[in-house]
Amino acid sequence: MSLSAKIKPVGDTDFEVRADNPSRRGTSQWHNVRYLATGILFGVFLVKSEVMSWFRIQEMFRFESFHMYGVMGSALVVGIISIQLIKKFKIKTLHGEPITFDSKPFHKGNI
Amino acid sequence: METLIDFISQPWPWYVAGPLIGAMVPLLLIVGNKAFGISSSLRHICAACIPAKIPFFHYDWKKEAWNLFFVTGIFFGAMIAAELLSSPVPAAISGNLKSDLAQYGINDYRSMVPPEIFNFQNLATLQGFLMMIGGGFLVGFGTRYAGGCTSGHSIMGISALQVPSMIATACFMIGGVLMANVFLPYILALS
Repeated sequence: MSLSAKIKPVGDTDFEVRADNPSRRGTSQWHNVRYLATGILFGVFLVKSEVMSWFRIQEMFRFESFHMYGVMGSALVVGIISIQLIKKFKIKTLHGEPITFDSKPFHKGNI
Repeated sequence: METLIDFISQPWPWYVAGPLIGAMVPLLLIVGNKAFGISSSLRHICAACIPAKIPFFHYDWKKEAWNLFFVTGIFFGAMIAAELLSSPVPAAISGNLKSDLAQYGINDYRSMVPPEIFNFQNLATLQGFLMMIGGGFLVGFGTRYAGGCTSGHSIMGISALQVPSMIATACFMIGGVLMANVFLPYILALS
């Protein structure tokens, strides 16, 4: 009996793990370069938006500046609208696979 | 080219930065059906390094390798932005915070974190240990216990209209407000 059969997988306790739902194509190391590039873009956004700044974070929690609320609010507007559009028009990935959404079960760790 | 770099190097207003961050959600979905998230990379690293006896780390982390590439990219992107695209003026921080922090000797706003606190010498003090090691521990514990961080819950989760993510984000806010207003003054007063 293999080790994997003995140990019960617990992937469903963590919302960010989608190992059960991998892209069939596009898992090679070469395809991962795309995610490296996406990450570089996001790293630039994080620094230039100042959301990484300790000072900005303190300011936000002291309700002394609108900056962080503006960033998060507008990011959410774009995120919500784009997910609705992806669902409505059944937009596919670059590999032509359907885009799926898992619902996140509630558990006490959320609080 | 130089004017373009100068243009990008200015501080980005929220209405430019926010939509770009939000656009990461559809970008990752379209590139390969990936849910935007960062803190799960901590778990994947543990799963890759720790023997499979712990059930929480027993899954095929190699299938999530894209996330490690993404996080490595963030590291380099942040480096590029900090070294090559850095703003000539420091972040416009509110005067209230500045005068409060000045009481604790924090006056340097050129970097993302106050160098007066986050430095190697301070690591050996109670204050530095609490803020750097203690803070790091809480980030690791909290993100896994809640099943996501501000990226996975607050951006991806709320974008997908997930109620648990909204609850988690409300709790992040409560925790942050308590820490910044109630506990932080005591920690800053330590030496």
